Amino acid sequence: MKTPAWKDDFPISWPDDDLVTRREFTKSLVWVSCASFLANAALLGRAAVRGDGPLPQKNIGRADDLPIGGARVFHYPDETEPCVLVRLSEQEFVAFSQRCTHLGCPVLYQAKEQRLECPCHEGAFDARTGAVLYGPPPRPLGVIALETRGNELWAVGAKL
Amino acid sequence: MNGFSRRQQSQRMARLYAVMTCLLIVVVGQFVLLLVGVESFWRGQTQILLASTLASAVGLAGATWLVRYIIPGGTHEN
Repeated sequence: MKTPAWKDDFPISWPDDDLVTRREFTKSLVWVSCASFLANAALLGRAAVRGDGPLPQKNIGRADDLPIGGARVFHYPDETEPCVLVRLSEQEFVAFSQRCTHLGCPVLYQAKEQRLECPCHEGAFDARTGAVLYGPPPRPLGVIALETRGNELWAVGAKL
Repeated sequence: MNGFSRRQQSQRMARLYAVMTCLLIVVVGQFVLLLVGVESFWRGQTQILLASTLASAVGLAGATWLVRYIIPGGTHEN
């Protein structure tokens, strides 16, 4: 029997081919569904672990060492979390996580505009509340709770 | 045609495409739930994260139930 012409153009041995059938593709969607659920469950587990126990209290320096309108970087609750302390007025101190909520770049305090600016994608946060003023950041900065004990400033908690 | 009539083959293909479409909708929905979960994780909103995880679990259960319709020799196989 003469070989059909199309077999000369497509000389593939079909039994040896490794095509994905529609049935196999449909079954693979179940694995994708399982992976999505596991990712969600991992986030929930991480959130549950993160919520355990109160944060430590840490002395972050003397209030007099920071001039009005000045800012200083410190780490809280551990060395992997950079934070920025800002002195807005004689008695007003605020502290926030220094990680921009967009993609994690360190934000810098601009005293003249009284805001924290992210140099990476031109986002800005209000220096009093940490709220987003403009730019791509989707959430406000994490707020660090401060206590003044005499002339010492203490970080006593965080809402990151 | 492999021992199946044309009518039976058409029914099998229709069932396969219906299951595939439903699974695609479930998977897309779970991706949206995952996005919601990530956002609520970063905001510290554990309750929303729990809800999205439970909804994703329902989606996975539904996907597992649906795939039984296309396993050879499984439920409703002619």
